[in-house]
Amino acid sequence: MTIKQSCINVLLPIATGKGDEVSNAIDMQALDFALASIQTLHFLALALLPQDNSENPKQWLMIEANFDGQREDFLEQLWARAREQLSPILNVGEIGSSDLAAFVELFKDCDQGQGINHTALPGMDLSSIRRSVELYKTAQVARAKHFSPTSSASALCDAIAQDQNVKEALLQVPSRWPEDSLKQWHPVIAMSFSFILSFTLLAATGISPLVYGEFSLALNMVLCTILFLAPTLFLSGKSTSTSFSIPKLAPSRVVRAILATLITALCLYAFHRLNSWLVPFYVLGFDLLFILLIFVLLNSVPATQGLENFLAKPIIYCVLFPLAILAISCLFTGPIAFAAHLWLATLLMLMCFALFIAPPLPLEPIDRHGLLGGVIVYLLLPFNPSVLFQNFAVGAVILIICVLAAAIYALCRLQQQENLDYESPPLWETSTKRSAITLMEAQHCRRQNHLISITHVKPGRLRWFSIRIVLFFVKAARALQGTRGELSGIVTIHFARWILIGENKSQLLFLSNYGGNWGSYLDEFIDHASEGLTSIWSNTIGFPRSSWLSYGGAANAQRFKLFARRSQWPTLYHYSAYPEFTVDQIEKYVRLNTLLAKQQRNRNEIEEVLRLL
Amino acid sequence: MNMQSKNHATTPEVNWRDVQGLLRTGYGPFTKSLFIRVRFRKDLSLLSFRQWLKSLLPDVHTGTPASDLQISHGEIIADSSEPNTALRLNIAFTYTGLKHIGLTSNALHTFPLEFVDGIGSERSAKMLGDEGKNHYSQWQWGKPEDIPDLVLLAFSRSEDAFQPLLDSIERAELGKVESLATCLSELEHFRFRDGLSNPLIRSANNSPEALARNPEGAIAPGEFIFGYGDQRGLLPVSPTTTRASDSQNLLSRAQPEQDGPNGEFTLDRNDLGRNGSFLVVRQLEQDVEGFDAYINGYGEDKAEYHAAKIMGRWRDGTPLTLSAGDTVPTQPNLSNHFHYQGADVHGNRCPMGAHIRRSNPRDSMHKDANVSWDIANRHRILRRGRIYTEEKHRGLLFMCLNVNIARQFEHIQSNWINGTRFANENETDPIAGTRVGSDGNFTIQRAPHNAQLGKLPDFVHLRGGAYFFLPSISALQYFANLTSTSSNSD
Repeated sequence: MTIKQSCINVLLPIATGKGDEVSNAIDMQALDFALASIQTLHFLALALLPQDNSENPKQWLMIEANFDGQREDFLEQLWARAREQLSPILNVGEIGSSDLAAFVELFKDCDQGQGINHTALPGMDLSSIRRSVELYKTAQVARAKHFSPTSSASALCDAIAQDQNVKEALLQVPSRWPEDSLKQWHPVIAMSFSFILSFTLLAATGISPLVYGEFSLALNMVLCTILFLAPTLFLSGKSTSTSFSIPKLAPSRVVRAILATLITALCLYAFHRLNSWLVPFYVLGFDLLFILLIFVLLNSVPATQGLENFLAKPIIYCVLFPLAILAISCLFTGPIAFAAHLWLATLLMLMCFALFIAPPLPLEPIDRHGLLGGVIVYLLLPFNPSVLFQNFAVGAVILIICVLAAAIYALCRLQQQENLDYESPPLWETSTKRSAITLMEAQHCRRQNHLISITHVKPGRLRWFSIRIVLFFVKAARALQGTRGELSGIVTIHFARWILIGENKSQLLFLSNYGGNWGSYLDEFIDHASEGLTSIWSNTIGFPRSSWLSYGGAANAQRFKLFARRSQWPTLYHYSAYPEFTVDQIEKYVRLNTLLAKQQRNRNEIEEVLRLL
Repeated sequence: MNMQSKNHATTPEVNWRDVQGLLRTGYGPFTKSLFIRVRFRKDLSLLSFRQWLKSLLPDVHTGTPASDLQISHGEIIADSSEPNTALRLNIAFTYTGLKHIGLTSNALHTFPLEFVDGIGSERSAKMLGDEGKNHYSQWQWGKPEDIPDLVLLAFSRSEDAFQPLLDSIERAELGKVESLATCLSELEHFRFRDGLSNPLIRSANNSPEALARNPEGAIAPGEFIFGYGDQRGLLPVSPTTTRASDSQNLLSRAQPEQDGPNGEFTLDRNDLGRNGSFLVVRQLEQDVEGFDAYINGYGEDKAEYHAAKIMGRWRDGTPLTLSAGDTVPTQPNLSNHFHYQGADVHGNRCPMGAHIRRSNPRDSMHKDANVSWDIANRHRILRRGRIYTEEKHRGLLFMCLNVNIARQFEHIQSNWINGTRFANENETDPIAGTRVGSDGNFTIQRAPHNAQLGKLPDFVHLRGGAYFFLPSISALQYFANLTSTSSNSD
């Protein structure tokens, strides 16, 4: 069972006018000391945030924490270890919590959920991080001990690996990292995915008497083969390219993939020959398989905490969707039912994939291309001439056109609104300006920092809708792309998230634990993800003028920095379990662990070990 | 996402006639120079200052290749028919200086925060790692209570040229005048050949030889001069002033896309920044004995080797990346055309944390070389440093030009020189990095395994510094013609 990093974002409403007292009640050293004894806590931050945009707003006390394991366990730990330090703060703010149960209840009630959550190193719990740092230091000592000018690289490397201290440290480290054990399931997931697609396809074409015949069968076979081949090939290849390209393949892999495909194709052919009366059973089987898959997935991933929005509720996937599918299958017959069925199923599959399968899985580019390829082929299928005339295909085309038209209309409206609801932000008040500088000063270049940004979503239904759509796509894209170690190319972030908060969920809260200083962090954002962040924040007030939702905006670096500075709120207290390490350093140590744990190392690996030390 | 630099074929040429000469050239043949700081006396009347500035204006050197000069590789070749005492003069102002010469607050607050705060502030100290002995409270000049108002940069082939200039400044009775004699030398005090790598400003007239020297290609003028497109094709946000204050229309109108950093629109504004730039000055005292003693401490026979590893070039200027062996090359190779990816990706030649690799990481920031160049090229500076010797003190007067101090100079100093992402944790630049909060180690990558130099002391001490605005010629004229009615409201 893997350990999943989790987070809480608790917003506790504090009594009016108590803000200063609350911030004075924070005893940083005592908190540091108390929190360090929680063995699952990565980061914790405290801040006072305004509840609305008014002159003298009510305030929230925000407690943000990133930890390993379940929320309940963490809250118990927090109560046990830091009760004495937290109670005065809560008491001053007149937030009562007398015992553990009340405390946990309060925190659960006020938890805003995970929002769109980014974790740089999924599966790396705090103890693993600490152990691998320990191993790195031990190995450095071992290198100094075993070094002699005459010894060869491989001898030195072996001596380090065989060193008693290193061995002891290695024993501490699990031989297989959590992510690796999850990765084993990748081929299985991808293959089930393509099997399901193939069956669906067969059923789809087989059901219509219009195109029933040897010709359509042959076409089906070809398509199925491609469909099945794509993920298998992409899964087995190895490529470091970040663009969609055909990876180099070992001959044995190709042979294996072709064999597998042939066997599948034969099976499919046999099935098909059994005649169309089998079709309803395919459909039923497909449903059952799907429900099974969802249950398996839900059980393998800890339950989502804080069901902050409709889409994140597992009940929809487990019960409502299959029910809807079944209902449609029962109530209607013929091509309409089938088309509806298929499209619901596709939607379900994609959402399910985006929300549940991918986040805990550190997907390699290869996997995501395979899966993406499969989905694309599947979506293009209606254009196969033999099935084009089926209602299914017509329905699909109409659906696509409708979605596209709606999207274009919405974009045009957004563009129009951008010109209307773009407000030139007010000039700096002297005091605000000073406090902004103080904020910047607080950011030291060589340690981790915390950033809190609150922005207000622009008024209007379209903005309400578009920010949610964009956030959903961010979530889905991150899930499909895999995020290990980076957030679209930004390597300095340990944990980050976006949450909609406040009355009507009209404020966008962004939280980030990052390494380096403020300016360089924003530069990285602008360099690597300017379209992405423009898409999100162009829906909020005060953002530099954007065009077509994603362009302009953040690319105007100076204005964007001003916007960021203005929307930022000071962090009163920030705790880090490993303030001196950046994400890439931790990755480096983990890599060293993996290499030293191996029985045999090849030439490149030996060089790498010595380079890492 | 690859930030492909856009096609700048249509970038307008820089109007060098309006640009101070320092932006165009390092005045190579004018080896003698004087750095004159002026701090206005309290009762200095704006009128007399403006008169002095007006009288000085004809002498301010512009970037135009005058008939007696030729420009080759960005360096002005001196004409022998000119007397040895010919002067090349540039002038720049600090924020306090701009305030004192009567710029209205309306214009003042269009300057960016980092320039307003200056380099001698708590913000900059933390960001740049100027702490401990290097803290501004320990400086010789540039402390918050002792910020110069303006600086005159005078270049000549002979030191004799400077006395008349100093006399004329004295006569104007501006206030306290202090000067630092600097010079251009092939070797700086640590005996490294200096000034081998400087960005080339993009222009249609770039010679093929100049382009061949710079593997990153030419850099957009907007990275160094206001009023032109930068590496992204955007106009840098530039300081502006009201049109009303510019009754003679000396300045050009501000462009709509230049909406000021504080959000005001540019409708009724003129562009104060156009053809100007920001000048960063840091006086760095070098502990030459300390440096020699340190590298000799690791074996005198390996001293040259260690010095080269620390710098990233052999003392004769040969880049380590282009030199395969561990011994001093017999022939210096002054090429600047080298890449880290490929032969030197792991730092086995030029260490990952070496000074030149930190201050310009070239293609080693990202596994995709193009992405790396794009990022590195957003953080370039035009270096114009010179060395000085003052009794026992020797050092470098570091000067650089950029349009965005925070993104360019400060980013390099804070994230690259003092950053940890290049080497092991807690390592900073072996020569120029801060030792506060650092272990002072320096890792030398090599096969079969790395070596480490430990306990590096501070080789460089910061003695003073300031951020200056280097105005265009027309902005200088605007300063000289500011009507006294629009005097400072502060």
